[in-house]
Formats: sequence, C-alpha cells, structure tokens
Amino acid sequence: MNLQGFFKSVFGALLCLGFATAMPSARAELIGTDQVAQDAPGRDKAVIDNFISRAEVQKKMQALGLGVVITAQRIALLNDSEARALAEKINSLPAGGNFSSLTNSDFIIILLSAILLVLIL
Amino acid sequence: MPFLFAGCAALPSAPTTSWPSTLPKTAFVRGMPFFPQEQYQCGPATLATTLRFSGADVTPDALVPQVYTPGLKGSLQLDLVGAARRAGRIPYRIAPTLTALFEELSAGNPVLVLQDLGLLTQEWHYAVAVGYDRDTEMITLQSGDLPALQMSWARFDKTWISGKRWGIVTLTPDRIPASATEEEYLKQVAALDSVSSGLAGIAYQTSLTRWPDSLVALMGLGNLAYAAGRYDQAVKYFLQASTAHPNAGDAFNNLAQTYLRQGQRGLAYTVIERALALGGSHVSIYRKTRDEVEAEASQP
Repeated sequence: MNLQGFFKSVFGALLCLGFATAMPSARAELIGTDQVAQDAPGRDKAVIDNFISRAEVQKKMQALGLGVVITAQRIALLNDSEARALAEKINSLPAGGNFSSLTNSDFIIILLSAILLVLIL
Repeated sequence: MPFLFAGCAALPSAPTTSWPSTLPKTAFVRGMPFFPQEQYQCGPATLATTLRFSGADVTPDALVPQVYTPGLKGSLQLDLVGAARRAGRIPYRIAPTLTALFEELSAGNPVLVLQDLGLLTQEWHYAVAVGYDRDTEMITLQSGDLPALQMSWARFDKTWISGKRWGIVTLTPDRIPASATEEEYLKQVAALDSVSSGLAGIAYQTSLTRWPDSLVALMGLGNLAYAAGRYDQAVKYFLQASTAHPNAGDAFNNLAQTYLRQGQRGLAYTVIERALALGGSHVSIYRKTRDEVEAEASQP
C-alpha cells in the first residue's frame, strides 16, 4: 500500500470514530451525542476529509515536518465544531478553494492560518 | 484601570469594577510540576505541566510528536487540545476574561494560556498561569525557564488579548472546571466521547451532579448504554432526557430506536411520531427511524 492509500485508510478509520455512536449498526439511526452537543449534523468532516486527502495538501503537511499518520491522528481528535470551523474557513478562502493557482508558500500560509484560526474563535 | 481595556468593551476582562464576592483576593496553585522549556517547545512543556498536575503520566518529550509542528517552530492550539483528549483529560476553554482565569486558579486549576510576546511582530508563546493577587494586581506564570514569573494584570492582558484571550484547563473527567458552563463543558465531553467513551461516561455522570437535567449528559449516557446493549438503562436515560426536555426530538428518536431494539414496536411508533412533530435539524434521521419502525411492523 502506498503512503497515500495508507493515509486514506488511517484517516478514514479515525474519522469514523466520530460517527461510531451515531451508527452502532447498519440499521439503527441513533443521534450521536456530539450531534446533540453541537446541534448540527456532522457532515462537515467530509469537507475536511476531502481537503486533507488531497495529494498536494499531504505534500504540504509533510513539508511542515508532519508525517501523514501523525496528521491523521491529530485531526481525528477534533470534534465536529472544530472541524466545521475549519471547513468554513476553507470554504471562505479566495478563488473558490482552487488552491492549484497558489504558490507553495501561499498555500502553506493559508492552510496554517485556517488551522490556527480554528481555535482562536 | 480603564486604560487597560480600552477598545475591548465587548470583552470585559478584568474584575476590577465588581469583584465577585466568591472570588478570593489571592490564589496560588501549589504543588505544580515544572518543565523548563527547550527552544520552541513551550507547547509540549506547558501541556505536560497541566496534564502532569492532573495526574497524567506524561513528559514534554513524549508530547512533542503529538503537538509540535517542526515547520512552524511551534505548536498549534488545536494540537494541544487533541493531545489533552488523548491523555484522557477534558480541554476546556475558559471564558476570555481575567475573572474566569482567576476563578480557575482559586479552584486550584492551573490555566494554559496563549500569549503574544512580540513587540512589532507576533511572537506566540504558551505559559501556565498559577496565581494572582488583587492587592498588587499581579499574575504569576510558569513561563519558559521561569517557574514563577510575575506580571502585572495590565501587561498580561495586553499579551493575552492578541490570541483572543485563549486559555484552557485540562481536568480529569470527574472534575468540572470552576467557571464551566453546561453547554461548553458538555461539548468538550462529547468530543472526548469519540476518543474514550469510558472516560466520557464518567464525565457525563459528573456533569449530572452539577446540571441534573443536562440533555447532552443524559443523551450521552443513553447512547453509551445503547452501544453496550444495555437497552433497559438506555431507555431510562432517554426517558429522563425527553421528560426534562419535551422539545428535544433527538431524545425521542433515540428512545424510539431503543424501544425498537426491545421489540416494543407500539411504543417506538408513538415516540417517533412525537419526534417528527417536533421537527428540528435532525428530522431526516427521525424519518428513517419511522421507516424502520414501519418495516418492523410489516414483518410477520
């Protein structure tokens, strides 16, 4: 398995933890405690998932000295509102979230300010 | 001292005008461990301090891979919060006021704070607040390699406000921060739930001692009981939640699901109809539950 595939499987598995109480089985539709606490659907994690699983994002995280597994482990410890704040930040970025037109350093700054701002709210 | 907080009217920080009657004039947290930080390592050092004080067996070195980002030469708040959860502690962000900070210190809870020590450029720094004194208007911090740095409230607040007065306490699940609100605390417990449901269970129980009708705590306990297959207990918690919060559709939905598991289709149907009548942001899930109830009912 290549690194990206490994990242995806680790990240996917970790992400699913957040939904474990919401879906204890394929059948039941229980409202998870985190959903009650946040009073919002937890779907924004999908935005983060997509964002983080992009190859160029992973390259940048590695440029920061963070391995993919470490990054996945750290992100999995976020709750939905933290993830949602990050998603909103990402959605509000210029150029409709088209990061490919940005230079590497622009990209790193945007990514980091997005992450930094999550908890300075 | 109005000059201190000019332009910050929306965030009244200092308890100078009306000192809360319950707040002691001075407080100092005793028995603090101290880890002098190495270069750029204020994040691991300060987090290790508050976690170790709470009884967790951690060292700054062990926290480095969890919180430190080499390319930033620093640690993100996000990662401190995550690492606290991983250590089984509840990272609670205090309200952005000196009053809240002092409340925690007077309750014996050190507060990990974010400061901007830069003069012209930003220079982020984490420190641990351990004491304050009203007469001298000084705060005591563990900062860098200083175990007891004294700083005036005025100077401290200037460094604190740049990071929106960010500060966390990291307590065990059997203790609630002195300044905690029900809503914010239970959000943090629910976040711990996906990392360690056992510890979250303790925190939900602890929450009920302060907020006996807490919807999130009752739902959390109900969900944990349900996940463990203890349906009688889950029914008890969901019933309690729906009685205390008759407009909480989520409680009725989960109660209906539990009744369904117990084979109580009639009760499940009555209860899910109630959830659907209430509506709310999770109504699409309530509809799925009703579909499941109806599917069960149509089986021989």
